[in-house]
Amino acid sequence: MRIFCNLLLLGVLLTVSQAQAQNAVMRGFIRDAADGQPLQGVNVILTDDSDALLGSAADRDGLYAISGIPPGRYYLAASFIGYNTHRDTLDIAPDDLISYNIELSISEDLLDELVVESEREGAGVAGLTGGLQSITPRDIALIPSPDISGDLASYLAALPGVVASGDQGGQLFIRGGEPTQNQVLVDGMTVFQPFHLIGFYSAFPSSILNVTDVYAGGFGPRYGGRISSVIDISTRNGNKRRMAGELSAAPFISAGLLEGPIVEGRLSVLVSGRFSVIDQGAARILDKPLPYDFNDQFFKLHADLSANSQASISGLRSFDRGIIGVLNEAEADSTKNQVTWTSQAVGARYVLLPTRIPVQAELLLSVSSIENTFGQSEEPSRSSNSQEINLSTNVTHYNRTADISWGLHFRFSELDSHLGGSFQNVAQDVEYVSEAGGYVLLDLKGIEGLSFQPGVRFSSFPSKGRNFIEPRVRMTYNRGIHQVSLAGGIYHQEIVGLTDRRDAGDVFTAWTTSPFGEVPRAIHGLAGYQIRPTSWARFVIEGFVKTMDNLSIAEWSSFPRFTTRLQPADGNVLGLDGRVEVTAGPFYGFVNYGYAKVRYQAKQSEIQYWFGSSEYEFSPPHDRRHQLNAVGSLTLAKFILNVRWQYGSGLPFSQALGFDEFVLLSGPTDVFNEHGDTRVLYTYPYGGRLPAYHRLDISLERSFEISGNTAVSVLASATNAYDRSNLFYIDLFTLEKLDQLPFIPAVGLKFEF
Amino acid sequence: MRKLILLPAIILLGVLSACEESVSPIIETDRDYTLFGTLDMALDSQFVRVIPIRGSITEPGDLLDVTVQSIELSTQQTFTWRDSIHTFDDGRIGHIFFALFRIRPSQTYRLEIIPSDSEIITSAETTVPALPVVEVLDATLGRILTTKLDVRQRILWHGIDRVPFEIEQWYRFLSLADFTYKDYQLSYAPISRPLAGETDVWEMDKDLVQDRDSLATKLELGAFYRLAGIALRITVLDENFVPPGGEYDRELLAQPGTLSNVENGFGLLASVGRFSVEWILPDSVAKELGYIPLGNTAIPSPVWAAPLGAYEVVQQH
Repeated sequence: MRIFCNLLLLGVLLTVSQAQAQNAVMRGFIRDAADGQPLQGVNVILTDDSDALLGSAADRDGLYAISGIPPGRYYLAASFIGYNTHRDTLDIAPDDLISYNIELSISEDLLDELVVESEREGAGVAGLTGGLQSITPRDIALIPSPDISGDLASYLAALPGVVASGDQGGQLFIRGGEPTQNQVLVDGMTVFQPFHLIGFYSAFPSSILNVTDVYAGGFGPRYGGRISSVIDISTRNGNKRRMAGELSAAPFISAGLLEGPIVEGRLSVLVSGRFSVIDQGAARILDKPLPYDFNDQFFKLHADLSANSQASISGLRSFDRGIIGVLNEAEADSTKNQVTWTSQAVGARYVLLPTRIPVQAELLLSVSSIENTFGQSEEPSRSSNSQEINLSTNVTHYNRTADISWGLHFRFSELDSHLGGSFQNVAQDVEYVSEAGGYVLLDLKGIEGLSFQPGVRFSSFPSKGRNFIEPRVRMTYNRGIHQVSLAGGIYHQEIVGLTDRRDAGDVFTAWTTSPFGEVPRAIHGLAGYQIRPTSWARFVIEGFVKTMDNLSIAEWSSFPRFTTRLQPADGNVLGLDGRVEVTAGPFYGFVNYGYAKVRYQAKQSEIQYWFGSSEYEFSPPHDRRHQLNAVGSLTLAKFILNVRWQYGSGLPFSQALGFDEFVLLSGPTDVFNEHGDTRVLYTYPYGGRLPAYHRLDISLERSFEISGNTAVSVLASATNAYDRSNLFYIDLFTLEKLDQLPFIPAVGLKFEF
Repeated sequence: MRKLILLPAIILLGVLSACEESVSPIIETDRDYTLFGTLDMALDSQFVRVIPIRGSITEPGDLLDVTVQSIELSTQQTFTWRDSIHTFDDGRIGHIFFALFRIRPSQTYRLEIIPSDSEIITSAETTVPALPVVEVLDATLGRILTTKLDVRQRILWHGIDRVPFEIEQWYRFLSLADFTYKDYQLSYAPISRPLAGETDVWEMDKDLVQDRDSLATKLELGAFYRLAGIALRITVLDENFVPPGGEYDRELLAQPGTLSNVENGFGLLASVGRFSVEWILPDSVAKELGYIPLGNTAIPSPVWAAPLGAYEVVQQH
């Protein structure tokens, strides 16, 4: 708590000292004149008569800030390829604190292709910097999918280091981390389990997205509570100029979106909804049961309160219900293995540029919940409910040599699980966990081309009597065509998700506090090198290591049952990403390769007589060693052809010598009375490997403009074009095999207005 | 020209879609059978369960194409066992093999499961516990605080080096009315422990007053009944039974290979030694305890009827 008070004091002192600064500061918001959307990446440059340069790039809110401006006359240029450059002349006095908002209009002179190229600046698959990948809707549109609108999940699955358990289940493992070790934030709100049961979909259609930052590791001190990765999503604001919307239909999902001004130019709303139509669509095309039902809804109110402040209220709901790995009609009709989850989040965000202090302040309040059940809807055999209330603030002080950011957060969680004995050594009480903490982050800019960001995060859990201090650092150095990046840090996760990975078809997740009293901890380290040797190609390579302690895994038992006990385990991940990105006229493409080795070490006294030791090491079921993704997009005569080929080496799975019955002989035994229990003669955990996975997806899209803002788009796609039988899993008990989705031809329609 | 471009693409797609790798969750193994059972000195027929190791969780089939035989290694006496399909109370079926013979102390028996279609024999060996020598010491009479009678008798089992699985004690009375015996089993075992300083002597301390009081509460013995004898019976398990950690933890012992002595298979074959000793109290001690001693009463034969007869009767020192 002392650290917490010290941080608060530091913040106050910084604020006071900033108020007395001698150098001028200029900041403001940059928006698209057509619809009021923030424009990320716009370069704002000040030059004086001696051609000295000062500059900044706009962030995801369209916010830019230039600090340490000496007094004098300056020529301002705000440029973004595809838009007309905004120019002005400014006379700046020593203590000026200038709020200067900019609206850019689309240039009529530039070609569409040029716009595409410009928006790839700073992003793109080879834009990987210190584990950070920024994704825009235009990136997502490159990935062929059966849906015309695109979805964040499709793009994530094309990234090296991101492993999906299959195209069913909604489980994404990022650089060796479990799905529950990934933090997903939407406009600052925590969202639990946002990925739908069908792997093409998440709760995030590209139509609601602005920018998504994916930190595969090495994330800074602003983020906390998860030990593997962060997916930080910023959604679009509703159109502030006119009513707009879209309706789409495809074999898996139908969607609608409506946006428009409530108060023109000031207050907008965006509402989106999607509903699965698998029964009427994909299941009929495939002529096989696909007992999945999911939907998601999103809304956002956004207001420009003044020239210096914005506020938004966002809400998201995601629902999934289904049975993983259905083999026949009878299983599809039975609900005893049905998993259901509902994830909800609502939050408010306020961004302020104080008129007298050169800082940016952000205040966030959100409530998030997840409800998980397994079994029949009326009487589930397992259930888990979790609710989280977050209040946090982030403040950035702008200085010439270093920006200083700091923040505070308060989090209150309620966790309630009824596990039906599935994890026998996990307490099933209702738990309340409170957390308070904060962070300090410096962005040192003393050396040209160098961004060095050391920071520290601390968290205190009064109800658990635990405190964590987590030093972290990120560094980027740009020199000419070269870029070097480093990142690393220490991470803790007090609230964990428990899933029984022994069964690929069981995705029920229970949220609880760390079951063994020892909090999971990870240490990340990564280093990358990026080069842009020509204007049309870029290469990046990044190596990473993660060590993870105090994980929980299901113990190995000889009895084929769904109940288990948890065992502590440690893990480590070692990997390498290599990416090549090419832009040549109407063609854009990338090839990426990912290598990762994930190993867990565990201890279980029962197995010592079978394995020869109670300690054992294994590759968990998401240890995909090699991944290759090749994506190409060609725009010709208003047709857009997208092609993706994916390859993944086989995932580990458990094998057995066979089955028998176990009869406990503890004395003279009448074998006529002891029927024994069926036993699995298991071998080393996950000792086998499934066959390699590969798939080709193709889509062809054409838009027809009906009038100025009205258009119809048609998409034809082929998922798994050469009908590869990719094995999803083998039922160890019945030896039945289940493949992932076969060849799926699809046609999608979208109407935009 | 276009066909020339398309052809390799079509071939490549065909190859990619066709190349399926075989994968199975079941690993080939030389272990074909699991064996569970105990050879029991108390029985004149022996029974074991033979469980085929299967590639799926389905039940074993109706027929096991195997020969099961046992060999007494010292004499090479061999018995061929017969198969029987038994339906358990939960509806499952199992193969129970049996053979008509009695096992003998100190003998090692080898059980073999010989498949007709394989040269890999699943086998296990067990050595029956050796016959102990029992020493029944004279009863000691005393009084506690000069009023309470204290009568004790020590019994030493030479050759018993482990905790007996079970200890039972009996009293026998002879009815002079019809010259039949009445046997009464006590519900508790005497205090027992390894004899101090010895590794293979098991000591029992029998409280004869406690026995008398226990019998008195449930017996209505009239003047026609005479105390005809006392018996102790112990059940001793062979050394294969000793579980790792000393506890019969189901989760632990179910791990394959744990508490197993089966070669080329899984499971456990063990043997059970059953031994008894009998003696008659001196008339003076019997009288002191309140019994009517046998005295010169003619004793009908046999002294001990079934079930004690199934036990190996140990001679006293």
